[in-house]
Amino acid sequence: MEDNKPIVKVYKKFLEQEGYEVDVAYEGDEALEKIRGEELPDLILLDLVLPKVQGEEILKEMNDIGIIKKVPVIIISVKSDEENAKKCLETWGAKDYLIKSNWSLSALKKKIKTYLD
Amino acid sequence: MKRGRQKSGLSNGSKFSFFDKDYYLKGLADNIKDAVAVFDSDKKIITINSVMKRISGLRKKKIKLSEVLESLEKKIKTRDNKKKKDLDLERAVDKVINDSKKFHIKECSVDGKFFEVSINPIQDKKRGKFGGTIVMRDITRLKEIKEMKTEFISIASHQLRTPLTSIKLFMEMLANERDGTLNKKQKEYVSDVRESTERMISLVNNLLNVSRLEEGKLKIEPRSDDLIYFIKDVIHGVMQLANDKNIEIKYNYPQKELPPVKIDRTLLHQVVHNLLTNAIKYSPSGQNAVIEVNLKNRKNDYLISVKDSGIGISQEERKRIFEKFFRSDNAVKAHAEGSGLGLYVAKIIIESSGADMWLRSRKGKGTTFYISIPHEGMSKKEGAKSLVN
Repeated sequence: MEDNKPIVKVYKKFLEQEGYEVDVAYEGDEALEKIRGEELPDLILLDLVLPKVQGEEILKEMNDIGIIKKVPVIIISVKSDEENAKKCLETWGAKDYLIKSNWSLSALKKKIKTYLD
Repeated sequence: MKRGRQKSGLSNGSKFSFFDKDYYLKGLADNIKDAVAVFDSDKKIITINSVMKRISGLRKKKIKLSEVLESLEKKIKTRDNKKKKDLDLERAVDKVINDSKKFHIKECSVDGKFFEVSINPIQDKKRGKFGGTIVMRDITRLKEIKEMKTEFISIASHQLRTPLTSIKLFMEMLANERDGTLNKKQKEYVSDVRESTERMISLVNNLLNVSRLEEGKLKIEPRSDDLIYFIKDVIHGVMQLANDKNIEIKYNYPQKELPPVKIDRTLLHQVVHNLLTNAIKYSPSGQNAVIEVNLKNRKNDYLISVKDSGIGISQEERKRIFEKFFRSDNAVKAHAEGSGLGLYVAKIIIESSGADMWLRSRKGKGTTFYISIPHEGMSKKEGAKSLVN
């Protein structure tokens, strides 16, 4: 769930090469629809700043409909605000909070693996 | 008449001056934006301007100095809630009168506005005694502008992160050669772009750290640690950089084990790391240069020093070395990459944690930076944010 097209493109390409199936939501409302749908993903990479519905709202909805424990969420954000991160992790139950520019694809791959295994 | 005119500093043209010295002084004081009060050695108010009256909330005609001080003490709030004794203005005035000692509060607030306060001595030359001035400068607007600047840096840096991430990740894809192999030149270019991108990312992180430090919202969390091994760790982190330039790093530390020292690992790491990378950057390459790191357990503190064998820093530049964005002539001449933020960040971290930092340098003899950490360790500070690495 990410609105920046080049970033989506590179994540998608990389993860597909790694053998994962990738589904993208570019906007917040699209993301909401996906988490309310029947087929849930195994893991969500979530950007906090999305058009229409913000990332926090999506986390909140995942809590409300009780799927936050089933689907691990990794936040990938440009915000390095600690209060923000704390809220996402402690209040909304996200698994991890990564600062976008500080993570390489290979490091991200390792993170994803730890939550999928 | 003639003498009086000269003394009051009036122009020679005003023959019928009705200015008496007191009116002159009052007019002057009332027409400046700072709050001003002047007192003599008997603690009698000589002049108090309308701004000072307004701030202290005293509107009557005859005002005593003690009333002004008492009212200000009640109204002044400092950010870190200074202890009462630091805000004892009565004592500050006594010190001005008796010891001609200056008093200064860098920033405090009164009724939602921000002020810089100083109480300074003025000598009554005839009687050889000291009176003084209380000046409160309204820095509210200045603070607002500073905050706007900090916010701007924060927003701009965050905005830069998205495009930088995309460059970084695409370059990683190219370097991995999953979509086709690269020839030697192409590999070299990709590696150059990656290096520059990482530099930009670290610059953005540094800028954000600077705005955090300047906002004063940085959290300092000292925990007991082994200082000897901590420094070893930091040195270990820069070994590759030093090896690349054929520089040896010597580390001398006390043979006797030290008691645990309270340090904020992340913050102190940043400081020592900055000093080490600087020392490496400014040491001549390929001449078997040596960087000496010393840790000493002194009577009142632990002293960490980092000595390089660079060309030294001139006296003029030493004064400015901790300024933001300052880059010495050497740095520019040596084409050493840098943003001029490293030492600035280091200095703020050290000063806000109750430690101290300084340098010694002689042209041609290298430079030594010193960090002194009191035995009781770095001081804790509550805050909302920590550094981005």
